[in-house]
Amino acid sequence: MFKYDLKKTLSEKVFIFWSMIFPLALMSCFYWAFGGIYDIENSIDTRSVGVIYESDNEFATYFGDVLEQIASEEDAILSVSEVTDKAELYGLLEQSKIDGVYLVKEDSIEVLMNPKYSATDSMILKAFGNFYVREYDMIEDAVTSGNIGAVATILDGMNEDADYMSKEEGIFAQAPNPYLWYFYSTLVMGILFQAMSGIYIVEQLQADLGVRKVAMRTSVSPVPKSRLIVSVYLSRLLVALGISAVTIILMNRLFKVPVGNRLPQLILLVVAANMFAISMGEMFGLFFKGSMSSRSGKGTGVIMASVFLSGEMIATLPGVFERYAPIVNDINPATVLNFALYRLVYYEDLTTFYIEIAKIVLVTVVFLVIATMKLRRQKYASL
Amino acid sequence: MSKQVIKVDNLVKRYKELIALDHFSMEVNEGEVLGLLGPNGSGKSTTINCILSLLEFDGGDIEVFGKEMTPKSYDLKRLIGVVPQEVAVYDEFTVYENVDFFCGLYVKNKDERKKLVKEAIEFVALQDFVKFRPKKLSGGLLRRLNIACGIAHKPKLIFFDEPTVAVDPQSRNNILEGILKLRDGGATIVYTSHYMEEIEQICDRVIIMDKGQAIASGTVDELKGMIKKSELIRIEVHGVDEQTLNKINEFKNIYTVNYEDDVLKVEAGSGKHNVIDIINILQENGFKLRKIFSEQPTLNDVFLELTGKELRDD
Ligand SMILES: Nc1ncnc2c1ncn2[C@@H]1O[C@H](COP(=O)(O)OP(=O)(O)OP(=O)(O)O)[C@@H](O)[C@H]1O
Ligand SMILES: [Mg+2]
Repeated sequence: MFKYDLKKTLSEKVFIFWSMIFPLALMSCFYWAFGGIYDIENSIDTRSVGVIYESDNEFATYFGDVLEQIASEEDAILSVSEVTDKAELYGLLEQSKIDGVYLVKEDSIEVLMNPKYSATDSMILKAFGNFYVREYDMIEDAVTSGNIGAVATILDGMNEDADYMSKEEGIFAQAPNPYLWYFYSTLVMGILFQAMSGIYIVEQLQADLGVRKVAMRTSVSPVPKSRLIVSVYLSRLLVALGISAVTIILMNRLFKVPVGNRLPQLILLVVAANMFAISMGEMFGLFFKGSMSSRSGKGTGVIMASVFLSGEMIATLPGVFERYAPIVNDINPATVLNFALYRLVYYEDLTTFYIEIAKIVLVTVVFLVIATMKLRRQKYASL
Repeated sequence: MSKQVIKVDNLVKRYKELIALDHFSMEVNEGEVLGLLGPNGSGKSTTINCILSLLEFDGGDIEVFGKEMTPKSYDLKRLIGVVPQEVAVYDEFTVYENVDFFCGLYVKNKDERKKLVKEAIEFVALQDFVKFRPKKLSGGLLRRLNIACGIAHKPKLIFFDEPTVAVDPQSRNNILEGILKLRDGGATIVYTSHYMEEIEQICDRVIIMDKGQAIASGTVDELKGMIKKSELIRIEVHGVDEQTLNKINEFKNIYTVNYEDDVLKVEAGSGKHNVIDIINILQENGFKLRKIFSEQPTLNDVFLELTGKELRDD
């Protein structure tokens, strides 16, 4: 039976073609539009900052030294404003003439951003501030020993290893590269579209939907419904995983998008995401009203909204939500999946990654239980 | 008395306000072909779907093979085959794969299944089309595939819900003969149709349905015996006079006599000598007979008599 379910799934060439081709086509667009990710990474704009010292201890003076050191490098990510007057700096900030201001205190550094700040700006400035606070001891050593060049080496990894950044600062503030965000959300979008498989499962098994008369045949057969459900679900999942694997490999090879080097966790994420998508589709199929195609239509609408809100078109959207309505990010599956992938690739510490995965798995389990209960019903009020 | 395979008692099924089955009862005996005859919308499919435990119903009892039928009666379901009214096959699969898939829901053993699938395909004479996908089959071939999918596992009880709709007369006869073969092989069959000819041709017993009720049941002959009119005799003859007509009318078996445009129409009750008696009188009076037709009553006449309307509108 499973063999036939698999065969059925594989015979839907159009569906498979589009779920593979569509995300890849979109990725090509991004790739050509931005001229390749690495170029973009290398040409990150320099952010101009001002510094206001509210303390004159060593913590504060070394900060100034390190900042100057960074600013003096070629392709520096930060440049320091000549202006030191507090009021004047605030004025520049207000008019967005500079990107941000560091308020250096006794043993902490506060970052003020201009009104037009972007998530990336904020990320870079905060990253440096946090980095300095955490690594102060090490930097102090480097500075006192006169080897200020060592500081640069310490800083080098900053862009790539965002783990230095505090985890409380919101999703997008931690994203090192918004362009990667586009690729990841496209991948996530492709996975979420596996919801169509979920709708298919419902239509396949619900005899009263009347689209597929065959549901009647399977319903009167001596095979328990639960076995039918498992078989068709697994066949759809298997094919979905194949599609994801191809997409990820091509994304990585063709567009040079990093996917990290933690394969087991990546597999975990992809499996969880696909299972989530298919069971979400079952919910669409079971609870939306109307014809089967109108149910798919509504499902597509939900997915598109979710993907849009996760920043597929406007990468800064999640940052905006983070500031005004963090709940949107928390419950938007596309954002959650995106973020999980991001953490997996860029973070040393995977605690939050596992929390995101747990969230996804939990919702998936709830969906599956509901779907199984509804689908197992074998008698219908009308056919 | 032979064993009862199906027992339906006072079945009631409503679709919202519409009462599709109104205290419908029926019994099916082992080894017979039972016909459910009724016009469109009389509740034939609804009855079958209730028996199969696919539909919820509002009242009544259903027993199959002496046990209560529920969705979880897997042991009973194993013995049942269904040929649904609408073709139910997978477009993605070939003819062979379709039969194999549905047979596989009943028969796990591969070798056994291979044999059964082959037999089913031969049974409906689709050998030349095993590699075809349903989309490429004509309506009649598709119907035959629909049948093969329902019977491949050699069920003991088979439901045929109007299996011959849109099938050409040749294939239709093949199907009907096939159904009789299945019965002779020991299967019990429930056959629905609104074609009385088919029902007359193959059914051992018939239940006539209308508006969700069983309005009559019995063998075909019994049903025909239920109605007054049992034979229509038409004789083409020239210039019959009033007196002769009255004489014919005086026979106790004759109900109506009608003479128009040189055609004499006589409705007669059951009895062997109707035609002979009439011919004798006409010849005694020196009339020359040209053509003689005698029409036996059909189930349509039975239906007409019982409900006051035609079985088929087409
Ligand atoms: N799903 C449904 N919802 C509402 N009414 C229905 C539904 N299915 C059938 N009916 C009604 O129930 C009655 C019986 O229908 P059923 O399909 O059993 O008739 P049938 O004898 O099989 O007719 P046919 O020869 O057209 O197949 C009809 O009046 C039909 O309109
Ligand atoms: Mg019907």
